[in-house]
Amino acid sequence: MNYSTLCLLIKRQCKEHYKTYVIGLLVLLILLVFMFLVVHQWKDSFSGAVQNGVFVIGLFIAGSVFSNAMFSEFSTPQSGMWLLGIPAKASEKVVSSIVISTVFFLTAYVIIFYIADFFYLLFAGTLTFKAMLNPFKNGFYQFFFIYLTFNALMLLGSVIFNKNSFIKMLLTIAVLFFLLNYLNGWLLSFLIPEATIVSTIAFDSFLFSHHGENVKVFLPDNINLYSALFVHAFLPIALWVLVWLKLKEKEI
Amino acid sequence: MKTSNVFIIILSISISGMLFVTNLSLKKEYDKIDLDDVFKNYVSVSSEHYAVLSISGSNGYPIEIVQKDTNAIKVLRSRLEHFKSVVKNDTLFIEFTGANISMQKSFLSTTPSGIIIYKNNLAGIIATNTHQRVSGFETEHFTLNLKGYSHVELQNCTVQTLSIAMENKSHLQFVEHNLADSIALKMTNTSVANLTDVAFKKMHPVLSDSVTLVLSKEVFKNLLKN
Repeated sequence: MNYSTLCLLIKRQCKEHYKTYVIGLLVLLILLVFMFLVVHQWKDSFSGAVQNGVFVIGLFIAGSVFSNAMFSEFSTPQSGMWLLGIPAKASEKVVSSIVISTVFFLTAYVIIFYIADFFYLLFAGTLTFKAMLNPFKNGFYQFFFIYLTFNALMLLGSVIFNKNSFIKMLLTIAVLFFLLNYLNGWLLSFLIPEATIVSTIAFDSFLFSHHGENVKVFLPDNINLYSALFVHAFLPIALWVLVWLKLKEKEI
Repeated sequence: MKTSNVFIIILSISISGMLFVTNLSLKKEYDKIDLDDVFKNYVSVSSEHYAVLSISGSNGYPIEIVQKDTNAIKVLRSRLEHFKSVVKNDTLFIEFTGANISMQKSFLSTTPSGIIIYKNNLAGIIATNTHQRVSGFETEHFTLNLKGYSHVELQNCTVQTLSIAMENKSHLQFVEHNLADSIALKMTNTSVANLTDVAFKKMHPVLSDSVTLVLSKEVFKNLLKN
């Protein structure tokens, strides 16, 4: 992998799409401010960590659209052929897309979010440094890792599907999520047939009911560490590798 | 077969394998649980000796404080990451973070207690933005200091001298039967005190700003006598 090629690819992406990106950032700011206004207007219905909620919803809406746009050239055969024809390795194209849709996007998103958060708190009359969202509080930063897996899946979708890749990939993710949860629930019911399982979180915990009381079971610390590494590191990396393999094999 | 398809198969096997390993581990954890234990959802936390409790954080989960012969602190397993404690001088500082809910929802909360504290004797409680259910205390002197959005329910307590200081939007409510020889009540800002379920001999109220007192007929008459 050539570093200068990588920089050129990133520059190309930014130069070709900077107008779209600027408009996109403005739309994102308006979307976040709108969501803050909604939760402020109906604050009795939106009690709890509203800033965290707005952050996550905005992150996944904007992140999915942005990640999917990384290989939008495949939507038409001409532009797809042009993208494949760029004199750079598939790995360089994939890495440049990952850098833009994770590092650059997350940086821009966090800045835009805090601008919206600032105006929201100013409007609500509760503006203090402490009142602003702290992403490192209560393990909230884990959503950044979940975003990496989501980003990898959206990139994969934009390479696999030529037409309507955004909708198709969102549907695929929903189906995969459902299957994973179903498989996880079935596996737990098979291993612990005597338990009345209420809900499960794959690779993390499950909730069972005992005489009307819900009891939560967590992984022990050592297994939890491996599980977190698997979900937060191995899975997105493996999916990015899959994006690279799919791009290498891509034919138009 | 294409390399990517082979990779998808290997990845699927890895995910399924990890799912099996984690679920096997969860089964082992499940087998360890004593289903007859009342506190099966809680984890015991040790602490040094303390006389005053200072709790801050969120009101999402109520905190139960009960007078008992044994001293114990139990934290809801799912909220353990949100619990921090340290003893300084004779005060136990607890930080119990999380999401805040509206005061209205806090009153009606049927959420299980986030922390259960058993203490043989306690000199006072300082609460900041948290929801406490204090019950069964029989002591000579007891101090309550409520700040922010804190909400305290006092239930079946018998205290000779009860000192209460309330500020901001804090809320105090006496529940069932409470007895106090003397109550010193200092309220500021928009704090609210519901005194309908407390019997007292003397009360020294110091009220300012836009505070609210909720009184029963008996308590009102008693207050006029003072």
